[in-house]
Amino acid sequence: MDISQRIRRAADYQAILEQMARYIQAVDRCDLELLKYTFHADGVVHFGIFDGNAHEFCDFDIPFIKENLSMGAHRFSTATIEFQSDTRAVAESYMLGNAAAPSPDGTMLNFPDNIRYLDVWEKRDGIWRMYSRGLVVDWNAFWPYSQREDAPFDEFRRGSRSSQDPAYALRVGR
Amino acid sequence: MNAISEMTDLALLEQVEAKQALQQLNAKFSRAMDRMDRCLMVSLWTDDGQIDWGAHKGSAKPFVIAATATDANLERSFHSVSTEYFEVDGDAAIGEVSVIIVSIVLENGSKIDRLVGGRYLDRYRKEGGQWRIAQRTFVHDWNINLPSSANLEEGMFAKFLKGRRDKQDPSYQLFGE
Repeated sequence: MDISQRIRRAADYQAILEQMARYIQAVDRCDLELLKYTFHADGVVHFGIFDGNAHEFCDFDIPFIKENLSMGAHRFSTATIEFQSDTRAVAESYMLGNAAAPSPDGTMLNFPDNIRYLDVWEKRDGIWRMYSRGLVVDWNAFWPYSQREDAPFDEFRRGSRSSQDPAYALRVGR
Repeated sequence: MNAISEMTDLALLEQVEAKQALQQLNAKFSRAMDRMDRCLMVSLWTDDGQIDWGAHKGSAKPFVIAATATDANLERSFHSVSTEYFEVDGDAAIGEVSVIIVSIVLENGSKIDRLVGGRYLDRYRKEGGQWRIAQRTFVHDWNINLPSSANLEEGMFAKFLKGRRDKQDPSYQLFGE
Protein backbone atom coordinates (compact mmCIF):
# COMPACT_ATOMS: atom_id res chain seq x y z
CA MET A 1 0.00 0.00 0.00
CA ASP A 2 1.24 3.53 -0.74
CA ILE A 3 1.18 6.28 1.90
CA SER A 4 -2.25 7.54 0.90
CA GLN A 5 -3.75 4.03 1.14
CA ARG A 6 -2.10 3.49 4.54
CA ILE A 7 -3.56 6.73 5.90
CA ARG A 8 -7.00 5.72 4.56
CA ARG A 9 -6.69 2.29 6.19
CA ALA A 10 -5.79 3.79 9.58
CA ALA A 11 -8.77 6.16 9.29
CA ASP A 12 -11.07 3.29 8.23
CA TYR A 13 -10.02 1.31 11.33
CA GLN A 14 -10.83 4.30 13.52
CA ALA A 15 -14.17 4.85 11.75
CA ILE A 16 -15.30 1.27 12.44
CA LEU A 17 -14.39 1.58 16.14
CA GLU A 18 -16.39 4.83 16.29
CA GLN A 19 -19.44 3.19 14.71
CA MET A 20 -19.13 0.35 17.25
CA ALA A 21 -19.24 3.04 19.96
CA ARG A 22 -22.26 4.73 18.34
CA TYR A 23 -24.14 1.43 18.37
CA ILE A 24 -23.56 1.22 22.15
CA GLN A 25 -24.55 4.87 22.64
CA ALA A 26 -27.73 4.30 20.63
CA VAL A 27 -28.80 1.24 22.64
CA ASP A 28 -28.06 2.86 25.99
CA ARG A 29 -29.85 6.11 25.10
CA CYS A 30 -32.67 4.24 23.29
CA ASP A 31 -31.83 6.40 20.24
CA LEU A 32 -33.56 4.72 17.29
CA GLU A 33 -32.20 7.15 14.68
CA LEU A 34 -28.59 6.68 15.83
CA LEU A 35 -29.03 2.89 15.99
CA LYS A 36 -30.24 2.80 12.38
CA TYR A 37 -27.31 5.02 11.35
CA THR A 38 -24.90 2.19 12.24
CA PHE A 39 -26.55 -0.27 9.78
CA HIS A 40 -26.99 -0.18 6.01
CA ALA A 41 -30.69 -0.15 5.09
CA ASP A 42 -30.37 -3.65 3.57
CA GLY A 43 -28.34 -4.88 6.57
CA VAL A 44 -29.24 -7.98 8.52
CA VAL A 45 -28.96 -9.12 12.14
CA HIS A 46 -28.72 -12.65 13.54
CA PHE A 47 -29.67 -12.06 17.16
CA GLY A 48 -31.61 -15.24 18.02
CA ILE A 49 -34.54 -13.26 19.39
CA PHE A 50 -34.63 -11.39 16.07
CA ASP A 51 -33.23 -12.60 12.74
CA GLY A 52 -33.85 -10.37 9.75
CA ASN A 53 -33.54 -6.85 8.39
CA ALA A 54 -31.39 -4.62 10.59
CA HIS A 55 -33.59 -1.52 10.44
CA GLU A 56 -36.65 -3.61 11.32
CA PHE A 57 -34.59 -4.99 14.23
CA CYS A 58 -33.92 -1.41 15.40
CA ASP A 59 -37.67 -0.68 15.31
CA PHE A 60 -38.24 -3.83 17.38
CA ASP A 61 -35.31 -3.50 19.80
CA ILE A 62 -35.69 0.02 21.19
CA PRO A 63 -39.29 -0.48 22.45
CA PHE A 64 -38.31 -4.01 23.61
CA ILE A 65 -35.46 -2.86 25.87
CA LYS A 66 -37.45 0.16 27.10
CA GLU A 67 -40.26 -2.17 28.16
CA ASN A 68 -38.19 -5.03 29.59
CA LEU A 69 -35.17 -3.39 31.19
CA SER A 70 -35.34 -0.73 33.87
CA MET A 71 -31.68 0.10 33.24
CA GLY A 72 -29.14 -0.88 30.60
CA ALA A 73 -25.49 0.07 30.16
CA HIS A 74 -23.12 -1.49 27.65
CA ARG A 75 -19.35 -1.27 27.20
CA PHE A 76 -17.57 -2.70 24.18
CA SER A 77 -13.90 -3.67 23.93
CA THR A 78 -11.50 -6.18 22.42
CA ALA A 79 -12.37 -5.55 18.78
CA THR A 80 -10.66 -7.74 16.20
CA ILE A 81 -11.02 -6.07 12.79
CA GLU A 82 -9.85 -7.75 9.57
CA PHE A 83 -10.08 -5.83 6.31
CA GLN A 84 -11.04 -7.93 3.29
CA SER A 85 -10.82 -4.96 0.91
CA ASP A 86 -10.84 -1.15 1.08
CA THR A 87 -14.63 -1.26 1.52
CA ARG A 88 -15.28 -4.44 3.50
CA ALA A 89 -14.15 -5.75 6.90
CA VAL A 90 -15.15 -8.51 9.30
CA ALA A 91 -14.99 -7.88 13.04
CA GLU A 92 -15.57 -9.38 16.45
CA SER A 93 -16.03 -7.25 19.55
CA TYR A 94 -16.63 -8.07 23.20
CA MET A 95 -19.44 -6.47 25.20
CA LEU A 96 -19.73 -6.27 28.98
CA GLY A 97 -23.21 -5.13 29.90
CA ASN A 98 -25.14 -4.36 33.03
CA ALA A 99 -28.91 -4.25 33.18
CA ALA A 100 -31.67 -4.37 35.74
CA ALA A 101 -35.05 -5.96 35.23
CA PRO A 102 -37.90 -7.31 37.34
CA SER A 103 -37.97 -11.09 37.72
CA PRO A 104 -41.29 -12.94 37.14
CA ASP A 105 -42.16 -12.62 40.86
CA GLY A 106 -41.61 -8.86 40.73
CA THR A 107 -38.33 -8.57 42.62
CA MET A 108 -35.68 -6.55 40.84
CA LEU A 109 -32.56 -8.33 39.61
CA ASN A 110 -29.20 -7.02 38.52
CA PHE A 111 -28.29 -8.73 35.29
CA PRO A 112 -24.70 -8.43 34.01
CA ASP A 113 -23.83 -10.17 30.78
CA ASN A 114 -20.94 -10.86 28.42
CA ILE A 115 -21.65 -11.18 24.74
CA ARG A 116 -19.75 -10.87 21.48
CA TYR A 117 -20.80 -9.16 18.29
CA LEU A 118 -19.79 -10.76 14.96
CA ASP A 119 -19.97 -8.20 12.16
CA VAL A 120 -19.54 -7.59 8.47
CA TRP A 121 -18.78 -3.92 7.80
CA GLU A 122 -19.12 -2.23 4.42
CA LYS A 123 -18.05 1.26 3.38
CA ARG A 124 -20.60 2.76 1.01
CA ASP A 125 -20.65 6.43 -0.08
CA GLY A 126 -17.69 6.94 2.27
CA ILE A 127 -19.46 5.74 5.43
CA TRP A 128 -18.74 2.49 7.26
CA ARG A 129 -21.92 0.77 8.45
CA MET A 130 -22.77 -2.80 9.34
CA TYR A 131 -24.07 -5.04 6.62
CA SER A 132 -24.44 -7.84 9.16
CA ARG A 133 -24.25 -8.26 12.94
CA GLY A 134 -24.57 -11.50 14.85
CA LEU A 135 -24.68 -12.02 18.61
CA VAL A 136 -23.07 -14.74 20.73
CA VAL A 137 -23.76 -15.03 24.46
CA ASP A 138 -20.78 -16.00 26.63
CA TRP A 139 -21.96 -15.41 30.20
CA ASN A 140 -24.59 -13.82 32.37
CA ALA A 141 -25.52 -13.66 36.03
CA PHE A 142 -28.51 -12.75 38.14
CA TRP A 143 -27.55 -10.82 41.23
CA PRO A 144 -29.69 -9.14 43.90
CA TYR A 145 -30.51 -5.59 42.89
CA SER A 146 -28.61 -3.33 45.28
CA GLN A 147 -28.77 0.03 43.55
CA ARG A 148 -29.22 2.98 45.92
CA GLU A 149 -30.62 6.40 45.17
CA ASP A 150 -29.66 8.12 48.45
CA ALA A 151 -26.46 10.07 49.24
CA PRO A 152 -23.93 10.18 47.81
CA PHE A 153 -25.52 8.78 44.65
CA ASP A 154 -28.21 11.46 44.52
CA GLU A 155 -25.50 14.10 44.04
CA PHE A 156 -24.34 12.84 40.65
CA ARG A 157 -25.59 13.86 37.24
CA ARG A 158 -27.71 10.95 36.06
CA GLY A 159 -27.84 9.27 32.70
CA SER A 160 -31.09 9.04 30.82
CA ARG A 161 -32.33 6.54 28.25
CA SER A 162 -33.51 9.43 26.09
CA SER A 163 -32.29 12.60 24.39
CA GLN A 164 -32.44 14.18 27.86
CA ASP A 165 -29.11 12.48 28.59
CA PRO A 166 -26.26 14.97 29.21
CA ALA A 167 -24.36 13.51 26.21
CA TYR A 168 -26.75 15.25 23.83
CA ALA A 169 -26.01 18.69 25.32
CA LEU A 170 -22.35 18.11 24.48
CA ARG A 171 -23.17 18.00 20.77
CA VAL A 172 -25.47 21.04 20.70
CA GLY A 173 -23.93 23.92 18.78
CA ARG A 174 -21.22 21.88 17.07
CA MET B 1 8.92 10.49 23.56
CA ASN B 2 9.22 12.68 20.47
CA ALA B 3 6.98 15.71 20.21
CA ILE B 4 4.49 15.18 17.39
CA SER B 5 5.67 18.44 15.77
CA GLU B 6 9.19 17.00 15.41
CA MET B 7 8.08 13.85 13.57
CA THR B 8 7.85 13.40 9.82
CA ASP B 9 4.52 12.50 8.23
CA LEU B 10 5.78 8.97 7.61
CA ALA B 11 6.99 8.53 11.20
CA LEU B 12 3.60 9.71 12.51
CA LEU B 13 1.75 7.28 10.25
CA GLU B 14 4.03 4.46 11.41
CA GLN B 15 3.22 5.31 15.06
CA VAL B 16 -0.51 5.19 14.41
CA GLU B 17 -0.21 1.93 12.45
CA ALA B 18 1.91 0.36 15.21
CA LYS B 19 -0.58 1.31 17.94
CA GLN B 20 -3.51 -0.05 15.92
CA ALA B 21 -1.58 -3.27 15.28
CA LEU B 22 -0.77 -3.61 19.01
CA GLN B 23 -4.45 -3.15 19.86
CA GLN B 24 -5.25 -5.94 17.36
CA LEU B 25 -2.51 -8.13 18.87
CA ASN B 26 -4.16 -7.81 22.28
CA ALA B 27 -7.64 -8.55 20.90
CA LYS B 28 -6.26 -11.67 19.19
CA PHE B 29 -4.69 -12.80 22.48
CA SER B 30 -8.20 -12.72 23.97
CA ARG B 31 -9.54 -14.68 21.00
CA ALA B 32 -6.77 -17.27 21.39
CA MET B 33 -7.43 -17.65 25.14
CA ASP B 34 -11.21 -17.73 24.91
CA ARG B 35 -11.41 -20.05 21.91
CA MET B 36 -8.40 -22.21 23.00
CA ASP B 37 -6.90 -21.49 19.56
CA ARG B 38 -3.33 -22.77 19.78
CA CYS B 39 -2.32 -21.83 16.21
CA LEU B 40 -3.44 -18.26 16.77
CA MET B 41 -1.80 -18.12 20.23
CA VAL B 42 1.56 -19.36 18.91
CA SER B 43 1.51 -16.72 16.16
CA LEU B 44 1.24 -13.89 18.71
CA TRP B 45 4.60 -14.54 20.43
CA THR B 46 8.21 -14.00 19.46
CA ASP B 47 10.16 -17.26 19.40
CA ASP B 48 11.98 -16.24 22.61
CA GLY B 49 8.80 -14.88 24.26
CA GLN B 50 8.87 -14.68 28.06
CA ILE B 51 5.93 -14.76 30.46
CA ASP B 52 5.23 -14.12 34.15
CA TRP B 53 1.63 -15.29 34.67
CA GLY B 54 0.94 -17.04 37.97
CA ALA B 55 2.70 -20.39 38.02
CA HIS B 56 4.14 -19.72 34.55
CA LYS B 57 7.49 -17.93 34.73
CA GLY B 58 10.03 -18.02 31.91
CA SER B 59 9.58 -19.21 28.34
CA ALA B 60 6.07 -18.55 27.06
CA LYS B 61 5.92 -21.92 25.27
CA PRO B 62 4.57 -24.01 28.19
CA PHE B 63 2.01 -21.27 28.86
CA VAL B 64 0.91 -21.30 25.22
CA ILE B 65 0.30 -25.05 25.44
CA ALA B 66 -1.41 -24.96 28.86
CA ALA B 67 -3.68 -22.00 28.05
CA THR B 68 -4.95 -23.69 24.90
CA ALA B 69 -5.36 -27.20 26.34
CA THR B 70 -8.72 -28.61 27.39
CA ASP B 71 -9.45 -27.80 31.04
CA ALA B 72 -12.42 -29.68 32.46
CA ASN B 73 -12.61 -27.17 35.32
CA LEU B 74 -12.93 -24.11 33.05
CA GLU B 75 -16.30 -24.00 31.34
CA ARG B 76 -16.21 -20.53 29.79
CA SER B 77 -13.87 -17.57 29.64
CA PHE B 78 -14.08 -13.98 28.43
CA HIS B 79 -10.98 -11.76 28.39
CA SER B 80 -12.24 -8.22 27.85
CA VAL B 81 -9.31 -5.83 27.26
CA SER B 82 -9.48 -2.06 27.34
CA THR B 83 -7.49 1.00 28.36
CA GLU B 84 -4.74 0.02 25.94
CA TYR B 85 -1.63 2.20 26.37
CA PHE B 86 1.41 1.80 24.11
CA GLU B 87 4.75 3.53 23.66
CA VAL B 88 6.42 2.71 20.35
CA ASP B 89 10.11 3.11 19.55
CA GLY B 90 10.88 1.80 16.06
CA ASP B 91 10.46 -1.98 16.03
CA ALA B 92 10.06 -2.21 19.82
CA ALA B 93 7.21 -1.13 22.08
CA ILE B 94 5.97 -1.36 25.63
CA GLY B 95 2.36 -1.53 26.71
CA GLU B 96 -0.02 -1.60 29.65
CA VAL B 97 -3.48 -3.06 29.01
CA SER B 98 -6.40 -3.59 31.41
CA VAL B 99 -8.20 -6.91 31.37
CA ILE B 100 -11.36 -8.16 33.05
CA ILE B 101 -11.46 -11.95 32.90
CA VAL B 102 -14.89 -13.47 33.46
CA SER B 103 -15.05 -17.23 33.70
CA ILE B 104 -17.18 -20.08 34.98
CA VAL B 105 -14.94 -22.49 36.88
CA LEU B 106 -15.72 -25.79 38.54
CA GLU B 107 -14.46 -25.95 42.10
CA ASN B 108 -15.25 -28.87 44.43
CA GLY B 109 -18.14 -29.80 42.17
CA SER B 110 -19.70 -26.32 42.19
CA LYS B 111 -19.87 -23.79 39.40
CA ILE B 112 -18.30 -20.48 40.36
CA ASP B 113 -18.49 -17.17 38.52
CA ARG B 114 -14.98 -15.78 38.75
CA LEU B 115 -14.25 -12.18 37.78
CA VAL B 116 -10.59 -11.17 37.80
CA GLY B 117 -9.33 -7.67 37.12
CA GLY B 118 -5.74 -7.12 36.14
CA ARG B 119 -3.25 -5.69 33.72
CA TYR B 120 -0.81 -6.92 31.13
CA LEU B 121 2.61 -5.26 31.32
CA ASP B 122 4.21 -6.01 27.98
CA ARG B 123 7.21 -5.69 25.73
CA TYR B 124 6.52 -6.12 22.03
CA ARG B 125 8.78 -6.60 19.02
CA LYS B 126 8.08 -6.23 15.32
CA GLU B 127 9.47 -9.18 13.39
CA GLY B 128 8.97 -9.73 9.66
CA GLY B 129 6.39 -6.98 9.59
CA GLN B 130 4.34 -8.50 12.46
CA TRP B 131 4.09 -7.14 16.00
CA ARG B 132 4.47 -9.93 18.56
CA ILE B 133 4.59 -10.26 22.34
CA ALA B 134 8.20 -10.58 23.55
CA GLN B 135 7.40 -10.40 27.27
CA ARG B 136 4.11 -10.38 29.16
CA THR B 137 3.63 -9.98 32.91
CA PHE B 138 0.11 -10.47 34.23
CA VAL B 139 -0.58 -8.30 37.27
CA HIS B 140 -3.57 -9.35 39.39
CA ASP B 141 -5.49 -6.41 40.86
CA TRP B 142 -8.78 -7.88 42.17
CA ASN B 143 -11.07 -10.89 42.04
CA ILE B 144 -14.70 -11.68 42.80
CA ASN B 145 -16.01 -15.23 43.33
CA LEU B 146 -19.73 -15.96 43.46
CA PRO B 147 -21.89 -19.03 42.97
CA SER B 148 -22.71 -19.20 39.26
CA SER B 149 -26.20 -17.93 38.45
CA ALA B 150 -25.92 -18.05 34.67
CA ASN B 151 -29.00 -18.77 32.60
CA LEU B 152 -27.81 -19.65 29.11
CA GLU B 153 -30.46 -22.15 28.01
CA GLU B 154 -33.83 -21.33 29.57
CA GLY B 155 -36.61 -19.10 28.30
CA MET B 156 -35.48 -16.30 25.99
CA PHE B 157 -31.83 -17.33 26.44
CA ALA B 158 -32.40 -20.59 24.56
CA LYS B 159 -32.67 -18.54 21.37
CA PHE B 160 -29.18 -17.02 21.45
CA LEU B 161 -26.05 -18.53 19.95
CA LYS B 162 -23.57 -19.45 22.72
CA GLY B 163 -19.84 -19.03 22.78
CA ARG B 164 -17.59 -22.07 22.88
CA ARG B 165 -13.93 -22.63 23.73
CA ASP B 166 -13.19 -24.38 20.44
CA LYS B 167 -13.45 -24.14 16.66
CA GLN B 168 -17.20 -24.73 16.85
CA ASP B 169 -17.56 -21.16 18.11
CA PRO B 170 -19.70 -19.09 15.69
CA SER B 171 -16.86 -16.60 15.16
CA TYR B 172 -15.00 -19.12 12.95
CA GLN B 173 -17.76 -18.78 10.37
CA LEU B 174 -16.73 -15.12 10.13
CA PHE B 175 -12.94 -15.33 10.30
CA GLY B 176 -12.38 -18.83 8.96
CA GLU B 177 -9.84 -21.09 10.64
